[in-house]
Amino acid sequence: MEPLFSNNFHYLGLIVLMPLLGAIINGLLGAKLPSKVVNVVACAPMLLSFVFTLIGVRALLAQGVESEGGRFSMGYLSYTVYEWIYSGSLSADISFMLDPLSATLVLIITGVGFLIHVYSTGYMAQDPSKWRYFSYLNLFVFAMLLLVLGKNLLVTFIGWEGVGVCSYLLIGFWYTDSEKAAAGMKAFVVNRVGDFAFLLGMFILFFTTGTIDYVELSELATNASTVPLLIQIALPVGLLILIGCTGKSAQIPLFVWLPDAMAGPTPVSALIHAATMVTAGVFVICRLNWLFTLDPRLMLTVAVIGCLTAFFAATIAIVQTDIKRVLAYSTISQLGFMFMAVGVGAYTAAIFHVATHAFFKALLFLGAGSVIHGMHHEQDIRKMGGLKKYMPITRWTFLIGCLAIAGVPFLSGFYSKDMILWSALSNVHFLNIEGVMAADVVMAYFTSTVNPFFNAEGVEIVTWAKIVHGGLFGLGLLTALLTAFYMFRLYFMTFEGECRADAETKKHIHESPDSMLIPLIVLAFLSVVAGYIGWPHVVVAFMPEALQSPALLIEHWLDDVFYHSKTFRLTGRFGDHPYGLEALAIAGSVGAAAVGIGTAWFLYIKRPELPAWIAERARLAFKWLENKYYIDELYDRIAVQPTLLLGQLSYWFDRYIIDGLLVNGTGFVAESAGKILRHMQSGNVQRYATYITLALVFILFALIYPACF
Amino acid sequence: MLNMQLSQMNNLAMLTPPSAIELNALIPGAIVTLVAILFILIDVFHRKGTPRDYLAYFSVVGLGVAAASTYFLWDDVLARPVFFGMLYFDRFALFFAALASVAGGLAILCSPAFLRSHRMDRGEYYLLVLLSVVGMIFMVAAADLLTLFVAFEVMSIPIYVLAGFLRDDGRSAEAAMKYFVLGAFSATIMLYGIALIYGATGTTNLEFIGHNLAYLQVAEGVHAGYWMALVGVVLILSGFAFKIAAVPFHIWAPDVYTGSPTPIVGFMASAVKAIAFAAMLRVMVVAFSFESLRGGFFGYGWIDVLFVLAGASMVLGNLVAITQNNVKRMLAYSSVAHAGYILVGFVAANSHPSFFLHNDAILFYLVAYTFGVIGAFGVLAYFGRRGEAVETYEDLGNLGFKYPVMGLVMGICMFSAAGIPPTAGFLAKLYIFSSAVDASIQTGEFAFIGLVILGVLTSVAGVYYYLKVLVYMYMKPALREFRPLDHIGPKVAVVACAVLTLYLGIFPGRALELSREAIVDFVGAPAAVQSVIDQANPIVPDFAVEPAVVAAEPVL
Repeated sequence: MEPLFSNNFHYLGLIVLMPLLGAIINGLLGAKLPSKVVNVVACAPMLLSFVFTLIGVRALLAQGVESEGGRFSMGYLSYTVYEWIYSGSLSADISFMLDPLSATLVLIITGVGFLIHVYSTGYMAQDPSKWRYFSYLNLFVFAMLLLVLGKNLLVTFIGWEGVGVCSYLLIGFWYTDSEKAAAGMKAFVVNRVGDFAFLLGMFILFFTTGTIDYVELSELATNASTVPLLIQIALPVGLLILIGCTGKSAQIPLFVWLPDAMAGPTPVSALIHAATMVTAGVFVICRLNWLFTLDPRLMLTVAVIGCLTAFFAATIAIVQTDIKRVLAYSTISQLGFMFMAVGVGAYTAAIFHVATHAFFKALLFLGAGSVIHGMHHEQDIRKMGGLKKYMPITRWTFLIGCLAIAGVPFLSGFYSKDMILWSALSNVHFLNIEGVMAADVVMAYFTSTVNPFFNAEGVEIVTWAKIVHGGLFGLGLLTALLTAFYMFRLYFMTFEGECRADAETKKHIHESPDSMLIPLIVLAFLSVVAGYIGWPHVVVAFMPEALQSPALLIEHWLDDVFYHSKTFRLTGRFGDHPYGLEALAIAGSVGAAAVGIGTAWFLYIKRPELPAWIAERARLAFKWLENKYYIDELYDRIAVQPTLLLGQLSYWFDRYIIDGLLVNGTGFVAESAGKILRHMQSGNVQRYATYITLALVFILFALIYPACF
Repeated sequence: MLNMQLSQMNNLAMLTPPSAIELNALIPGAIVTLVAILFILIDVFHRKGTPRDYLAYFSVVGLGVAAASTYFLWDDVLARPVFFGMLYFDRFALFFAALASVAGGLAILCSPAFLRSHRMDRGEYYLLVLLSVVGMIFMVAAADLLTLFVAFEVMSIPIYVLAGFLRDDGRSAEAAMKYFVLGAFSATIMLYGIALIYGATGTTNLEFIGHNLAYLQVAEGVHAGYWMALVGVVLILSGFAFKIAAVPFHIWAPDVYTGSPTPIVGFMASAVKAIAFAAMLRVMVVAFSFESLRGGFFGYGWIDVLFVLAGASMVLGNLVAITQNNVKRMLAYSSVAHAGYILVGFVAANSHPSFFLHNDAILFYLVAYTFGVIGAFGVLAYFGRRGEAVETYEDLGNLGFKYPVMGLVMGICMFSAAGIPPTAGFLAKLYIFSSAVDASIQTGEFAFIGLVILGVLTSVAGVYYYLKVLVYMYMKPALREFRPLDHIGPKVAVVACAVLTLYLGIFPGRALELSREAIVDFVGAPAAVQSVIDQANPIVPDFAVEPAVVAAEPVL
């Protein structure tokens, strides 16, 4: 289908431009501008971008048409800012694309981003370099929009690097504290490892297909005649890009930077390390879904990585005592859920969870920020407690956030998490339905070469695949239970019970200003209602006709983007809708939430002495968890120390061999040669003329001599 | 034989008077000439002791009009030679006419305060630049070796004079003397080459030469005249190599660049080189495309000569530039190195007719290089007050911070010269090298890739001395105080150069399109090349129906 605004939807440029303008104005003039103007300059672009995005969504809906099978297909809007190089195969356009996928993300980025900017005006009010903070924050949003709106991998990569840099700048915002500066450094270095892999994957893709444009690539990947080209490289490219995504989205093995990244100002944690940047990995895999679904092994890797990360991070979160670190591990765990969703082919569920998670996790972080603000930068929950009477609004909104993330029904977290969990159970790979096989692109190729464990008859599900998916579901359920537990442990220790702060602090505890509370209330509202666009089908079946379509809005909205991956690939769910499994999953996740919350209530309200007793008994396990499985130490031993050693070695090599022998040697040779040649330049005209004549004679001799034989 | 020639002449409509439309071909040159004449008239009434700024601006405006006229003539070009086969009127010629005018204008803008500070504020200076530009405009349009040579001298002689314009300065006089002696020497050699070609082919018209040379190849080998033609080609080539300062014909450049007035050096290094390249392209492609003369891949023809020249220029230019202390001298050697890079593209694009369209990379390079080099010399001219001119690296100390605009311009120009993105120099090098790689891949010949590798390596060496300029400008203390020429002219000129350098680096699209159009509209190319052009440009304008030359029997 031809897009209505083929390549000139200028609003896309404006969406990206606004935050950049804000960053430039605040960055250049902020120090001299009055505080209020800085606030406006920082927040207004976000709102404008949000409005422009809404206009984009409107245009997207306007060009939508009903296509085969009742699918509402909207295509995309695009806008080319400029073509940098165009010569032969080498082309690098800076161009943007708005389709349902990127529109969802952009709405989150600009919408939640706006709220967090407003919140920051209160949170950072006293900071002398507020202008610098807002400049970085706007710059971050600019880079994030580049990442999401990019029409090709290059633009995405520019944004990808940009958000990395801004994250580094903001984590180390209070750079005078060397520990915080080091945290920024750690985040940057760990991400570089991932970025390198990402770049490598991008190069392989480019050299094989000759393009990095998403539209062109997806056409290659969904066309029967060209797809064999991509199947060959799907696994290596996918793995490399996956490594990049694990870096950005804090998954095993590159998750270690995110807890340390909490050193930055809390709104930054809310915006970058909860709502937007860390979901970039999920976004990129969703963007390249037609590539990832080409190889079931790849999908399985993604799912397993996600599931394990979710579980491990949740266990670590149980014993953390820093309010922000609990949230950080919870973020890693929730990102694990998203990766699991992507890995089992439930892209819609992943994006749905990105959206709901953005609301409730931003809410939780901002709530935590409000607590920290009220407690004068106290972050240890052992020194909190009973805060509900000091900061009621913060408490209620925080409670809503906790309920949402715990997966209590009728709050948003329940819907998205449930969609992921039962997708894990029912989207068993290698399930084959005959119609799909016939319609698909290169099924023969799949059965023969790519997929040795695929059953050639293709009627039944490979047994171990069933087991793996069952395991994913089970571990996911367990993680959901843990999530409910540690979140309510956090809530109870912070807001309920007796206040454990010292008397001096107690006197000053206060509710935060309106500029911080209003975003909290808005986010709390969104955390409740955001889930109502993705009801479970089993519930929808009982709804009146008129409500059925809005109740499944998220699925219909994203259907077009993931159409090929869901319909023509081996991953995903086929056949009739398994209502039974869905109901089972709902029951399981409601049960998990209830057990988790109940346990937390029992341990921290009813019998507060019990946790210490348990810690005493299970000393070893406790220690392991408290030290985060010693992952940091392990990395230090196997990666950091050898790297340092290698660095020292390279330094020696560089100093004495490269610099001493080669560079200076080359320099010496070049300089000596230069000196010798320089002597030709005697300044004597007759001699110059002689040189020219000699050169001519030599040339003529060289030309004529060979012909004399 | 006479009959045959006449029949060909008929084909060229040589016996009919030029039609009105042909007069268009003169417009850019005529504008500059007119400006020059008006200039003399105005200068007569110049009041002594007052600055000549207005005259400089008048010349700049005149040159600007000439450049603008090419824009309006862009679609009126003719597909056959005009004025009895003496001139071409195609986009290729217009492209370079515009380039020469712009370069001349920028050089003049840098000059008034410079001349005043040297107590040489004389009108002749501008007049000579204008006349030189006239020569350039006709040189790229030349369709006949005689037109070419006359234009060549019209271009060169004013430059000789300009080199020695600061006659009180011993070095300037010396530079002029050297340039003149060596220039005359090489022009003589070139003229001798033209005579030999005339002897071998019986004509001086480029297309006839190309046509007649084909008959030197006879069944049992080559005709005796072939060797005469070969020597002629090499001698003509040496004349061009002298002007573009390719090793080993570069020998004059360092001394002349060091001694001449700085704005003129910028003009010399950019416009003269660009025009010499353009004329060389025209002559070599139109007249000497004959395969055994052309050679290529060490078939020992002029392509192979240029191949060696390219390699030698890159290596020697860069190596010697490293050891220089004098910035102008360093830039002289760097211009030798740049001649080498351009020659890489030249050799690759002309080694086989099918690569002809790659010549657009050369055009783009010349444009990018022109602005970069005029900007650099403009900055030096700005600090070029008599007796306290910036000459060595040490003199540049701390100037970048003291004069931020000039520092920035110099930075951009040096980045461009070194080929660092996002400047024009980077893209220009990229296109040149990728065209050579392309030629190499398509022919399966490794030699070009070797040349590209050499080019990349030597340009890495180049980064050293270009960045050295910036190191001194920003990181070394000032050893002496300099009073810059406080004049708006050089400021405007160098900022324009810097902006254009960045613009071409970031938005190269339009410039590339123009280069491509100029190459596609190259008139006079032999049939093999023409078919390549036609494939790229399937819409043939209706006036281009009749071929310029029809096949005829052998001449000799």
